[in-house]
Amino acid sequence: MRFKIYRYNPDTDTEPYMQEVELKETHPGMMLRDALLALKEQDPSLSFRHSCGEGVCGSDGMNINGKNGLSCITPLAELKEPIEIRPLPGRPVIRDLVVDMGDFFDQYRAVKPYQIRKDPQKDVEILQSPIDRDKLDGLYECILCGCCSTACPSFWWNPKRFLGPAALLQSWRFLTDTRDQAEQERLDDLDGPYKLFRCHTIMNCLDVCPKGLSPTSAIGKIKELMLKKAI
Amino acid sequence: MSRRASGLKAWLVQHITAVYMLLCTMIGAIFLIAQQPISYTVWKGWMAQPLFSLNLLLLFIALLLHAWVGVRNVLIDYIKPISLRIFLLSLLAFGLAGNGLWVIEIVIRAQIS
Repeated sequence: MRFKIYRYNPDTDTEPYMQEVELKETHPGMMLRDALLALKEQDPSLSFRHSCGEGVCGSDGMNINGKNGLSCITPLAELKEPIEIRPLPGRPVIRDLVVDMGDFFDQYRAVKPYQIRKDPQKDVEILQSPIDRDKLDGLYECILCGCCSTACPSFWWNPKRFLGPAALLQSWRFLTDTRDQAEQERLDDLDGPYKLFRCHTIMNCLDVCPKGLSPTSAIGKIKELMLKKAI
Repeated sequence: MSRRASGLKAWLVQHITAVYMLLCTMIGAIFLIAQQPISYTVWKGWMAQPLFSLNLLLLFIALLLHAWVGVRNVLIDYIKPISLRIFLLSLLAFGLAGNGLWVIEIVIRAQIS
């Protein structure tokens, strides 16, 4: 199987290049991550992040034949040869397929991704009705792999000021949580032309999400709520 | 436009003006097809009716606001040096304002003559 892999080692290379490599042995059901591990045995200098191997940890996001995805849940058989592997777009490359996700996590931190309570804390659970709990479906499943935000042109242009689809999905996850009590503050934080409104509904985010989530609809719901509260 | 307001407000303006322009364009297109052939005198007759000229004026206000938000979005996305962005935004504002005044002039002159 033929591969074209983005290579860049800042210590030895003046600029990045695409390396053509071949993997002789493949087996049925092989995932791209398995192939990359086999290629790393051929050339130990190849660098990429990975961990759980089953689409849960979100470490191995990369650009596979032009589309962001997780290598561990991408079957080799579905990919057209030569398989072109590049780092997640728009992020500074540290080495080969390893990118700096600093801005991405800064934006995640900025939406305060935790429950904020104003009532005095009690020693009992804060219960939710099943209907209210259902509102969190399609939101809590995000594994923060960064495939969506790094596929978003608005995030490429303004990674420090636009929150990006992943952080905005989490913002809505807490806005819609009936146990959270900081709705007004959260909405105030999102206003202005950058944090939320750089989203131009390009919808690359929902196209690439390996968990099948839709940041676009979450963003739409935030705008709706904002409008409801403003009028 | 305050820093706080320019997010939601701009987005709302863009959407409301889009709906208004879509409706006006559709109704206008049907009207133009139905009223063929159109001459300068026919057009002047329409312009003399307040319902027509006011709608035309509103349509252009909507168009200019929509263009302002849209082009402002493009400039915010792509133009990073702040002085160049301010220059281009000013150019846009003057251009749009000029166009707006021109439309007002046309409507007024059509009313007078």
